[in-house]
Amino acid sequence: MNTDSNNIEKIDDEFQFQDNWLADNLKLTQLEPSKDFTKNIVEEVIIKPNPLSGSPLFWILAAIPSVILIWIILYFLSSANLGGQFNLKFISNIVNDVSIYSLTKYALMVTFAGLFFIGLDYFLSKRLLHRESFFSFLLI
Amino acid sequence: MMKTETSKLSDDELIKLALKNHPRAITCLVDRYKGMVFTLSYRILKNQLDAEEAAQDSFVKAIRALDTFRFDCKFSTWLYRISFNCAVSKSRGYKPVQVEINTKLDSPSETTNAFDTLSAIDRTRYLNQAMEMLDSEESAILTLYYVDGESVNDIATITNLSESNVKIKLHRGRKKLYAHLEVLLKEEVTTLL
Repeated sequence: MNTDSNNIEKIDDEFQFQDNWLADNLKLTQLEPSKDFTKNIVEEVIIKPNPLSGSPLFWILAAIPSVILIWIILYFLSSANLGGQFNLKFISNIVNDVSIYSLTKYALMVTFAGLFFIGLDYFLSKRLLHRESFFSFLLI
Repeated sequence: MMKTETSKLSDDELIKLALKNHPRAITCLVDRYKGMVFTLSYRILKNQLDAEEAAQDSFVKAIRALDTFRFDCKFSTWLYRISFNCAVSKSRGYKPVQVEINTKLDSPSETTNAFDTLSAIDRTRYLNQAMEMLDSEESAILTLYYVDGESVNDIATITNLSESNVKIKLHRGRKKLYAHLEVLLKEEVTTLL
């Protein structure tokens, strides 16, 4: 150890470690990991976007239950206010104007429109470069 | 962007793309450094499966922490530091193989002359054997210095050692490596005779 330290002190220069023979031969010992190494890492680190976000299906799934839920809340509020104790007449008007029939009709319209766009998105993604989504393509 | 175009980009450009979750940039960065990261892990762990696991963990950690890379040093130095730490923490609990060897050899010319007559496959085999007989840290330092051409200063950053300590380990490691090679070649000659 002491001899080694003395040797280092004698020539405090990286030049003393220059060894082309060792550099050339040690390069032969560089190893390579298995075939799927890169693929495994990329799969692990890439943040996969939610498959539903940006898709009309997401909006259908999110919007329809929300509208129906709001309508049910309004319906119960209106029923609870039959005696007219609170000034909530506008709620009854909404509930009467938007019947279950018309609500279902609009929900079906939105669903079919959404399905149409999902189909269009799928069809176009086959033709777009790198299978980009039609919607992400439009947004970019 | 095409794959060939991505591979021509510098590390800094690839990092900026990787930060935007660009899969090709990440693939390119991994492909560029996987050999060295795996070799470095192998030199410390001396086991292929563990080395591959450690190398994979190093890349995952590095890519997830890419936003903390401040571009004030080489990406390779930053990555090798993560890789070195990953392998060292994985090696805790391992029993290092201690090989007593005479390190009086100062002039390696005899060994190198005999060694040069061997085929590349045999040379690789003997060198790998000799490297495996070294202490993990010395073996990793020799790999960083001679295989990847890292400077003593960068190796000190990677290994968290002082520069003089790195120099001592380089000096000793090199001497030991030649001594191990000499022993291995003598054994081979004895076997042949």
